[in-house]
Amino acid sequence: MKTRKFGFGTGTTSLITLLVALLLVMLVSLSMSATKVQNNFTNRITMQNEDYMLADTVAQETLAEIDLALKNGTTLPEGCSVEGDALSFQIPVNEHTYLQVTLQVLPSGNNRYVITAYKTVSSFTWQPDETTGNLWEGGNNA
Amino acid sequence: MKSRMRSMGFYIELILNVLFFTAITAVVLSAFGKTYKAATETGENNTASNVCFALLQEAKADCVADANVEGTTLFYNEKWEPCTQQDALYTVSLTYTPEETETGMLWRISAIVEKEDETTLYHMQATQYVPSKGGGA
Repeated sequence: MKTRKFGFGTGTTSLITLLVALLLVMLVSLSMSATKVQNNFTNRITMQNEDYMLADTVAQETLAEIDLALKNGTTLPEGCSVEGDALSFQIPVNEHTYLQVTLQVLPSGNNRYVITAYKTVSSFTWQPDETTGNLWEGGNNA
Repeated sequence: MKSRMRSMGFYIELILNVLFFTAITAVVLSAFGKTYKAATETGENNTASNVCFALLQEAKADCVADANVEGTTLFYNEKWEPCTQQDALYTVSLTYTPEETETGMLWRISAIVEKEDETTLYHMQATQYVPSKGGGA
């Protein structure tokens, strides 16, 4: 009976090297894609912070203009809406969000106005799915 | 003779494999290095942005509370924890520039994050309107 010798034949080392190389390439690809995802996410947060600060700056400048208009009795800045003694304006932050500022104009006293609301509001509207799909609606369907 | 040839073939294959593996490792290590650098920079920028945002919010409140507010420098270590100037890796400089208006003061606040080597990492600005007495509240 012929006994087969165990050992590295021609091509075995090449196969192992190729496998290890493939593993390394896969690892580096995964690492790179994870970093890319993290980078995109971080950029979005940074952009959000910057967008808010820009909108806030415009809002503060508008407040200064409103104060001047109230003091001098001149026309209010563009974009301001008046409802009774309430005055409001909106500054877009990004595509789906805006900064909503509401003031109450005071007739007399120490101050000309008081800020009653200064908040970010989402303009994105949810569209509810009215269909129940495959959900059980009660009753005995058996 | 046949055995010798086979042995020689094996060694040639081994050498070629070592060369191939070395080349692949060099490429992969370089890619890992680039990825690590990108991840570190992303993390730094993200934290710098968040720190600037938080500090500017505080600075805006300070402008309202104190009319004589002055610029300040804050120091952070590698974990972004407040520390002394000696241990600092990041420096955040807050500067306040007042613009006097007819009805009050418009404060321009700037936050600049610098690294140890004085390279600017991040920069953000904010504005706060503080009406004079009789203005808004």
